[in-house]
Amino acid sequence: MTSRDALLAQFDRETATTRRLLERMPADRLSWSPHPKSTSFAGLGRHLAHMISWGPPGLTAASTDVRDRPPLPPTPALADILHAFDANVAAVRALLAGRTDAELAEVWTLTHEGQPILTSTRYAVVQSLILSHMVHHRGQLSVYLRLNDIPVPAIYGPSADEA
Amino acid sequence: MPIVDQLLPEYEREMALTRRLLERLPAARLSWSPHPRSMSLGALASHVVELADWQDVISRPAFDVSAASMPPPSASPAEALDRFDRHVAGTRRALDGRTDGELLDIWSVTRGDDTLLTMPKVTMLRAVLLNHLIHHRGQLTVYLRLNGVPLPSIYGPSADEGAS
Repeated sequence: MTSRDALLAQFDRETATTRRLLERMPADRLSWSPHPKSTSFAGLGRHLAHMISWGPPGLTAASTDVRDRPPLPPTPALADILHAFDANVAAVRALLAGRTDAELAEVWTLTHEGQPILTSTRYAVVQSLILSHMVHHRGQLSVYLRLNDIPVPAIYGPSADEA
Repeated sequence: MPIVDQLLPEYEREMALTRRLLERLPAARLSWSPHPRSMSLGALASHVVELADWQDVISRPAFDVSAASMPPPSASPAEALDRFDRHVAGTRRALDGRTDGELLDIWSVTRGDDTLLTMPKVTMLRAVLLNHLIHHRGQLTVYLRLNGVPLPSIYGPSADEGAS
């Protein structure tokens, strides 16, 4: 298995799990937050959908300026968050499936007003900037669901609610 | 690029981020839990600590669940940090110099004579153990927030630190 295939398998598995949590967010309580300094359900959901959109620039461009950052989901509504998530996942999956291991080793640079602020292989854009980052915030989302008495799906093993 | 040249720096970076959270564990709150069905702060932190230990997967071909036992949760933040540091030092030594061939070796979960699942070692390390750790570390950030502990920046600034 090439590293592209392993990464694609991981991308498929992790995005499918993330969607299972996103679709359980309570549509009528999206402004709920566990603490005054914490983001809301809507904030977490929009962030989870949005971070995937680093994939197209990270997999195709030599460099991208933060001002050209792809847009957030248009509203904090659950339907818009899920739609943006699905569209971003489909776009990144198609691009990733078409990349060779050699292309994934190429370097992408994120700039701010022309100054480099992050350099990363295309592989690491998907592995770290998208997937690790997603898993982190999805972990937070699992606590938000629990605090609202919403059953938490199994993620890396059974939850207290589901196997 | 050899697999280890990507995996080891990523392990080091993620463990440095993880340690910054573990350093902030409030000793008086380890039995606190945010919900009756949730793990306690101490149990969650201990789970994160154990997921940092990759030595067994790197050095052995299989893991027999029938012989498995979970170590007891750490009794104090100092003990959790000490265990974490020993896991990270041991894993760094175990990972350093591993060839692609060794990391692509098949690793199995068994129960006695039955094989339950198999995957390349690198998949177990990167896609299972590391993502699993990051998942519970994300939960830990909410636990700490709910206890009024200022959060370090992780992948970007938190509401407390790292904003420019």
